[in-house]
Amino acid sequence: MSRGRRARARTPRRKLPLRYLLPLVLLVALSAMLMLRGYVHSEILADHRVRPPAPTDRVPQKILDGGPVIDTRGGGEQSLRVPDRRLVLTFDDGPDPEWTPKVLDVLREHHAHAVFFVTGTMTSRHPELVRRMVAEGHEVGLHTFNHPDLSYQSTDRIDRELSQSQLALSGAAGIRTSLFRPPYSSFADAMDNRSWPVTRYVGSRGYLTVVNDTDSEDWRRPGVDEIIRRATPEGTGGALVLMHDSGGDRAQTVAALDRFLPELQARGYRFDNLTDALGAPSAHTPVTGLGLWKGKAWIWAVTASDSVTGVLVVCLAVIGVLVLGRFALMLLLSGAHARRVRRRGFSWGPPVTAPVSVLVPAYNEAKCIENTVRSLMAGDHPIEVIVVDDGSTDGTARLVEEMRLPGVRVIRQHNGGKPAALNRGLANARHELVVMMDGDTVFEPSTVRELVQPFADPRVGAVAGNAKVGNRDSLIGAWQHIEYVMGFNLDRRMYDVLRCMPTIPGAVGAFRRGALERVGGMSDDTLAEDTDVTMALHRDGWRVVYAENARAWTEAPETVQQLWSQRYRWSYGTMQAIWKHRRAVVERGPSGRFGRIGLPLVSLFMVLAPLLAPLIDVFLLYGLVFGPTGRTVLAWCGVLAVQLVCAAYAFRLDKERMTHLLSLPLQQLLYRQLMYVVLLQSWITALTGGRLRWQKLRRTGAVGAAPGLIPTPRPAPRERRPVG
Amino acid sequence: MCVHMNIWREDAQPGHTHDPNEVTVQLDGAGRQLAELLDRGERPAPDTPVFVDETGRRGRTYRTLGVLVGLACAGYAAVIAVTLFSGNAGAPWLPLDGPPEGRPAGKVEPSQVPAGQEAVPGGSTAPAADPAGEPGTDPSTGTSADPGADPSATPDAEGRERADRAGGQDEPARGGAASTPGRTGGTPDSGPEQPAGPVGPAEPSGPGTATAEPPPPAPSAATGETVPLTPAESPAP
Repeated sequence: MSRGRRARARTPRRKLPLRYLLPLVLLVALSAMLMLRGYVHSEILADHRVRPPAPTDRVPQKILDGGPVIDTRGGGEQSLRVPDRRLVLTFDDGPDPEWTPKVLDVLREHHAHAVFFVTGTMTSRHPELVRRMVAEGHEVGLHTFNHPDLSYQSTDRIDRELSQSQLALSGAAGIRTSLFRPPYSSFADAMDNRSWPVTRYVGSRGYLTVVNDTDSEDWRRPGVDEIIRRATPEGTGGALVLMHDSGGDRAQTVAALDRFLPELQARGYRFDNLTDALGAPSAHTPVTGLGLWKGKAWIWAVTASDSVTGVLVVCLAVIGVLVLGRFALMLLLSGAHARRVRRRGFSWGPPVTAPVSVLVPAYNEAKCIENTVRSLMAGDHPIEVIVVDDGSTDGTARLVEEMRLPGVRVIRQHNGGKPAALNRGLANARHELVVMMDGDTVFEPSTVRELVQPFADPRVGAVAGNAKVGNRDSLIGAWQHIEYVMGFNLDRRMYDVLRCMPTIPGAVGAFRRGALERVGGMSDDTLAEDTDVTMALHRDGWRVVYAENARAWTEAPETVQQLWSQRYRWSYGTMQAIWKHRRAVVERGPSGRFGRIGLPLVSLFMVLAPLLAPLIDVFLLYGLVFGPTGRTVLAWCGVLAVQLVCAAYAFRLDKERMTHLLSLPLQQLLYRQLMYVVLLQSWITALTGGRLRWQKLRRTGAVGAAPGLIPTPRPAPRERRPVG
Repeated sequence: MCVHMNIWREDAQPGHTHDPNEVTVQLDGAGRQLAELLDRGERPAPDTPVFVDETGRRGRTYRTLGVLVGLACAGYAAVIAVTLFSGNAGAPWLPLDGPPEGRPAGKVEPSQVPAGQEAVPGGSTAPAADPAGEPGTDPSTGTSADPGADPSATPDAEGRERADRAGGQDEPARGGAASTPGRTGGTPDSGPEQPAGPVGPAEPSGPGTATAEPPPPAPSAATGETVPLTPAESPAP
């Protein structure tokens, strides 16, 4: 019996916290991808130093006097020359996507073979060209991976360059090679005390070092005739010619080859591979099994990183253009709005003097409710105040009652959430115009009056006020202050002009009771009932405007935890509201207008684009550490400057002091990250269909919750109600 | 009379009461009133808030997807790391005609050729292409290197004997081979790292070539890809 009970009481097996682990793994994979791309594009670990000439006293004389093929394998010191009437063409630094195919075409046309010394980076990026080289009978040799001057490198680095080049080669063409040409090499007599040890070490690894004895200097682009003249050997002697198929415009090289090959073939020369010319077996060794699969995996990883990074860069560019465009639009439209409402003689219509019902839903606001109610009483507009106590446990309702203020009613209800409280208040309101606020918001004397003036226009169904952060001196408070002034107020002016305001702040908003009744009051389908009802009003054809002088002072969350909680509810609630009203996109009339302008704007900038925001930080870090550091910093400062300009404009419009803007740079570094982490978590919750602890069970009239369902959790006693 | 009627009618509205101490709430009534307000004929409100899936099915689907994506990403990063850092820098042996030369040290990556198998013209001879090390087989291509055996005949004989013994025993040969390359691989280290220093490698090249002989027979006996020299040769990342 007890065992059964114990079994039932056993805690469920803990599952992996995938919502935190998965983004982390994705980030690691993305960083690996970026670094791989940087590596094969020679942005990471590239060494561009070139050694100046050094004395040659320690190089064996027979090497200096010998031929261009140096055999230092097994500790030996041998040189070989190309036999008479054989010409070995060698191409360095390939394969190049533009010029190598042309060179290969010319060679094939004249039935000539050559040797290509390819770099590992280019091989990884263009494996099909190397495959073609091998298939058409040419020889491939190594030219290191990243093209560093090997005399500066340690043997570990040399080994790495060689093994990674062989890896790329096996993935590209399924072979390993035994030929090697060091970067920045020249003739055999140019071997000096610094490069000779490298040649010996590479030989100890089994490679033949191949330099050249005829330099066409085609990289200088001296003209086709000059290239041919330099490449032609004297008499009938053999030659090993250095040419290039990459690293710039190689049109002259291709043209020179087209004339050079038939000319010398007519003179009795044969254009062969190096090993064919020397009478040795091929320098290629086929690779199979694990080595081949490793090579293929490498090539596949490089290709994937190139494509994905390309797509991400395009996405970022698009988002960047959109965001900058939005900033420009915001500046323009908010300026237009301000000019319009501040014009002398502007008015909504005849002044509105009708009394207003003010609804104050309160849950455990014992600390603030007195200030709130008193600030309302100090207003200059006739109001009745209805405080709806949502089942508080700290005596909020009794506090208000004991103030014994005329015109203030208190309604109690069991804890049912803010939408239910507002609906309760709505049902009990006596007047047609209704103002909704929060239990911790403080109004100015003129707030209610300013808020209801737009109702003189009969088309206006709701008015958004100007919520301000009261506790703006802490760092978090300052960041939210900037955010409110810039984001909410600048944005609201733009949305007012575009007639698609997505949300009225819960801290200060006014509604026509008739309009609310038409859309069904406040709904608890979503966590953001203010956004939900605003969208519903738009769809019903009402205008929603912004009253800049209706100021209300709220207390923003002070701790990261409270901020996280608030923003989580807001972003998840906004996503819910957008999804709930998605049919508006295809509807007609005012609903369609809202659905085709307002919904996409809100979705794009509040729900989709911020998902790519982490990319900005990843690319920023990459650019700082590996890439063009100067340009990255410049770009980031440019974006910051744009934001500073917009923020300064917003502050000026609101007549706020600019000192708080000092924390803007830091906000970009820390606050922004919090916001997109919150958004990511909201997405995950939305996708996986989990129930958040603030979401109540819908009461259908049955008493209590049915057994087996999640019992309605009471919100934590300390938790504040949503500000708006 | 009318006033009383009005008050009574007002009282009929749920939730609206004149009793200041009234605490009980008729939520049923609130629900009914809300339902009455929904007179636009829209479809009834869903039972759950937007996005919430009570059955948990969507959550499980996305969880599986998430695990797959995570594994793919981890696999990708692992592939990069493994291929990049586990490599062999050596070149396959390429037998060359030409003037006699020192003992070739066959540090090479064998692909499919088992011990002693004959050379494919592609030069993909058994890594143990060291002719002196393979007395049993008859490498035709190795003949070119036979003349090369002369200069260091004595070490050859030693190598041959050692190779014979090594041929039969993989592990000890490999174990023994693993230690020697440490020296062979070690000496070139000093060279390129200090280009300014004396040409050190030239000196140990003699004994180096002799000790390098045992390794080639070992891989010839083995079938695997791993060259016994790999432990010393694989670059430290």
